[in-house]
Amino acid sequence: MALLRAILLSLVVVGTASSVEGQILTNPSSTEAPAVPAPSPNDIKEFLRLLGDPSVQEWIKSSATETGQIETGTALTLREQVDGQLARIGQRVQTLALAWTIFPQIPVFMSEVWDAELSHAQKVRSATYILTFLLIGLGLEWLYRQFMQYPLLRIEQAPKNAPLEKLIGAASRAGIIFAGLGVFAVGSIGAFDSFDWHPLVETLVLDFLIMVLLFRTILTVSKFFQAPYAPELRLVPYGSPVARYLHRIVAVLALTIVLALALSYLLNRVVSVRELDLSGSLPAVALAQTVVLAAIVVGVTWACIWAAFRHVPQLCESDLNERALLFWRNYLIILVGVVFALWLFGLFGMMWTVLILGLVVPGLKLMKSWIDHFFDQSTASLHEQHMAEAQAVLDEFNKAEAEGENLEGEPQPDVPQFADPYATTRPIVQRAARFVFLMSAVFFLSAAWGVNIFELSEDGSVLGRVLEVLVDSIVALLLADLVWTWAKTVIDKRVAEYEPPEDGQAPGPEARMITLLPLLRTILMVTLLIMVALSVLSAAGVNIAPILAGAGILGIAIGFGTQSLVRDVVAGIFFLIDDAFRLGEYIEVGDLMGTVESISIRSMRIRHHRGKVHTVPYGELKSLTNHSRDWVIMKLEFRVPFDTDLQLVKKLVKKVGAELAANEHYGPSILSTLKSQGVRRMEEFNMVVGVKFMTKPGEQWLVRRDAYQKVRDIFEANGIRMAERNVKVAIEGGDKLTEEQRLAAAGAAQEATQGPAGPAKPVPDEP
Amino acid sequence: MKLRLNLMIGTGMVMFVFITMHLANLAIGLVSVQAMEDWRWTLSGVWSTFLPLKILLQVSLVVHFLIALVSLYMRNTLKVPAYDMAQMAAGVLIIPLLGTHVFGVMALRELGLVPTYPILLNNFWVVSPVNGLQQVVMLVVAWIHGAIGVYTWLQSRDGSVHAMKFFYPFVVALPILAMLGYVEAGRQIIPVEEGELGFVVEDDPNADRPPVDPEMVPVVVKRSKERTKMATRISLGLVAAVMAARWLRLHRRRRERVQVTYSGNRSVTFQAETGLTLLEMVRENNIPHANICRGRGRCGTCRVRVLSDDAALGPPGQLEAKVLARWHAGPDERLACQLKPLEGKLVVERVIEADYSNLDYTETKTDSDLPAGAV
Repeated sequence: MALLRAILLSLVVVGTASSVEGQILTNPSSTEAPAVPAPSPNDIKEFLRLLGDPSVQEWIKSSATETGQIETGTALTLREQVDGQLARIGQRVQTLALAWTIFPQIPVFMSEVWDAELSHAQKVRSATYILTFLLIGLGLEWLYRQFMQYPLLRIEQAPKNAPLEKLIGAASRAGIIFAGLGVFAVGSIGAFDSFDWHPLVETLVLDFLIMVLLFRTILTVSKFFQAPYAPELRLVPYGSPVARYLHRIVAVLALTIVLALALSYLLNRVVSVRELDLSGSLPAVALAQTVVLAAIVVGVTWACIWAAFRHVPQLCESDLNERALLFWRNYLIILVGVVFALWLFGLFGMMWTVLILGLVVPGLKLMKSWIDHFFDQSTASLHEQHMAEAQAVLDEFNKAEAEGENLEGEPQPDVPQFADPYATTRPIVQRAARFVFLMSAVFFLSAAWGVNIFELSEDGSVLGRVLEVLVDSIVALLLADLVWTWAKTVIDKRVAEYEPPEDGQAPGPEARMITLLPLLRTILMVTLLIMVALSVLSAAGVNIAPILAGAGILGIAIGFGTQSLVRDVVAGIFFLIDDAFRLGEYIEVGDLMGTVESISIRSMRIRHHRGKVHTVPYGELKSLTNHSRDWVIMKLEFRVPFDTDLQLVKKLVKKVGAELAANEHYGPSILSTLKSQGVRRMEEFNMVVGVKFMTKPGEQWLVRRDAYQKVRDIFEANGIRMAERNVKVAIEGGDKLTEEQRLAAAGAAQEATQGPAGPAKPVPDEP
Repeated sequence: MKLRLNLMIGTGMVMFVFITMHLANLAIGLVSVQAMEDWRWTLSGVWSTFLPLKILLQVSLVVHFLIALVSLYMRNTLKVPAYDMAQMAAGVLIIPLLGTHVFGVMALRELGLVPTYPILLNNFWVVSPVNGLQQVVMLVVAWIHGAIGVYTWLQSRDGSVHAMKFFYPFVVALPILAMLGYVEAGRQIIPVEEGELGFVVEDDPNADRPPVDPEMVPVVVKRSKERTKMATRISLGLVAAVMAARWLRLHRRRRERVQVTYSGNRSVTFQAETGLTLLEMVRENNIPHANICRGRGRCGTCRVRVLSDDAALGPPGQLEAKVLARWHAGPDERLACQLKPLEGKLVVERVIEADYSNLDYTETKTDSDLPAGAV
């Protein structure tokens, strides 16, 4: 019992927290205060006498000093509010009880009012008018629909695959239908309005036309999502039978609600016309009618929920989780019941809160699976298309092979991997939709409580503060989450798509991003976390300026201490952005040379071709030479005697070039094969013939080796000798020298020429 | 078959002309009750006083109704497009709704009165507003029934695009004007004490007539009510009997299963019972399919190409062959609305996509060497 009381009290406290009590369902009974008769002259005299009494004056003074402090505190205000709320509930219950007692008389009473106000003829005539104007509207709409027939047909029947196409199709169809509704509204209400009517008939007819419009609007929205007769436009993840069934359910629900609304308007209007005759019992009569209509609506809603949960799984023909279904069915039924009970007791703010909060979770779940379905469907259709294309390529290849047209050893045809183009869009759309959904829930909630969400800061109340903090924090969190999800999916996708280069292959430009992206991701996460934390703190009223200042000082201190470290990191980022080097490239930094083995935040590691490993901080890099970019030209020289046939040399070099290019190992790496550049210069005893070739970086050494060897061999085979140093000794009258004298002279000359030259310098180091 | 169709269209057209004139008469009510009355004989009275027209109208009504019963009996399925459903429902409702009005006018004549508009409007708006409401409903129902019939007939004719330009506005404007005329005339007829304008007739043709025998009135009214009741019972009874007979016919029909596959972009396979036409099967399974004339075998837009069939399909009938020839169709093409698949498996593909909005309907047809409007 005590527990029950506590629960009731807490309910009431929550209910009173906003005393304005956004009364969305305005009902005459709930706003009526009990009539208090004005004080009579005698009462006033008595009051004045009491005020003059010294003892009373003393009592007033003492009580003021004793309780003055407490009276201004919140406790009593709260108590007052609780009292007020309880009084309102009590009054509501009283009205309900009165309504209950007079309920049996209402039909009689209503028919009396009805007959007194409108004659039988007038009633039937109203029906005639309603029919006439409905038909005018419908006729004009039909005309419009005939005009739009073909565009509508195209939108509904043309095959659509991408989610955007579907969405655009559904939206444009909804637009066309809504325009038709507009035509209907203009036709029916416009034609009706151009006549003069009996005031009561006018309001009745107008109410009905508006309700018809409302009903059709609801149906159009249902059609927009479910498209029961146009599967190409369906935005929801189920088949035509379910869509049709649910569409019908929506129609039944909408019809009930709209009819109940129309009837309650109509009845209350009729009652209010006769207000004077009713005096006291008017609110009770109005409430009784409304309660009955609301009970009917609740009953139909329950029946619809029950029926939907019973039939949809059968129509789906898929094994849904039975317990989950049962849970959600009972959940919705209880939710509707609770909302109805709260409404019955006049707790409108509570009612909207329960309704909105109760629908947030299932709404979020539905929305998530809806968006998932949306993307699944489009990905599936793209995948299908991709598979069909791949199959076509394979078929063509197989056909060609069967006919023996393919060259020997031709590899399998290139079928690109399927990549889901929506992998990054999906989570972002999910988060964005969730953000909008939650924000609108908060917005409606605050509207239900009569709090203007945009002017919270001007509202001094505690609730306003709490709400403001909550709203601000939620917004900050959701926004940060949105940004983080987007960045994470984009980065993760790029990292996942990266394929490390095969051995011996130069890595592509992606390698650089792979180095940078995880770093960026971490930085972004830290930044977002700090920003969210700070904005939450700031929303909660914590002064974040000192924190920022403290962080600034700390940052400066750390910055000084780690100056070179920071310089290395920053320089590294810029080197990476410049794409100055990549993993696996052969570079030259100052005196150091080698292949880039690893890139870290602060430094890189390069391996010399003889095995030495150098670690170079980026801050130390002034300039950097990269040997592994795009192409390399290598020039070679041969010394041949002056009597060499240069045409022959050219021809032979060309032949060697062709041989090199045809080589199966390095042939494909040669960008421009060996060719003769003719005589580069004349020297003392010989000519220098230049040749050159261009290869991909790293391949030049192998090509050079073979080029030397092949040129030498072919020169020898064709009688071209490489020039050698030789000394001619001319001796006056040498004709008469004996053989011994000639040899001695040659030996002396050789000694004279070679003596000071010494051995040749070693060639500069090359890998 | 062809005779039945032509008779249906002919009798329907007679009644459509009648109702058009009658509604035009009502629409004049927008001017004044006096104007309505001035035009009464020309637009309405001629059908009830000029004997050949009177006979033509009555025969048309009976023949049309009987042929409609035969058509209903022949229907294989009641799952029909919305237009056909509306037409059928409206057709069943017409006679019960019409009775009061027709027999009421006849009763007036029996009493020796001319059924002038002031009398009728007074009856419909003041004496018996329920009756008036009934007549408004009747007007709508009859117009919908007739308009759908004419619409369907027009749509599958040559030059329909041209005709439709006039037909669409006409079919909407006339009943609207008629109803507004009726409402406005009512406002003029309803007496001042009830909040309306009130109306005094000039040169009432009934003024010169001898006064009505007060004893006759209840007798005549009673007779008219009985006649109305009888007409309602007979018509609804006939419809019910035909429905029962149809049910028996369908019940005794041999049922076999056929598996139909529509190949193409959105390939689909479904099971159906034999005895229905392919178009009816498609409708039962809610598969989009082009069919402008809604299965009457006139337009040729429901053509399918038979890719393979287990049981040999019979050759096209006379009607179907004509339409196919008009479209220069290939030998494997058939009309889905005439083709009755037999037991087994059938694979077809649409010749005209369900989205036929790009179809140049007029050009293909005028291309033919058959006389215009050949059905």
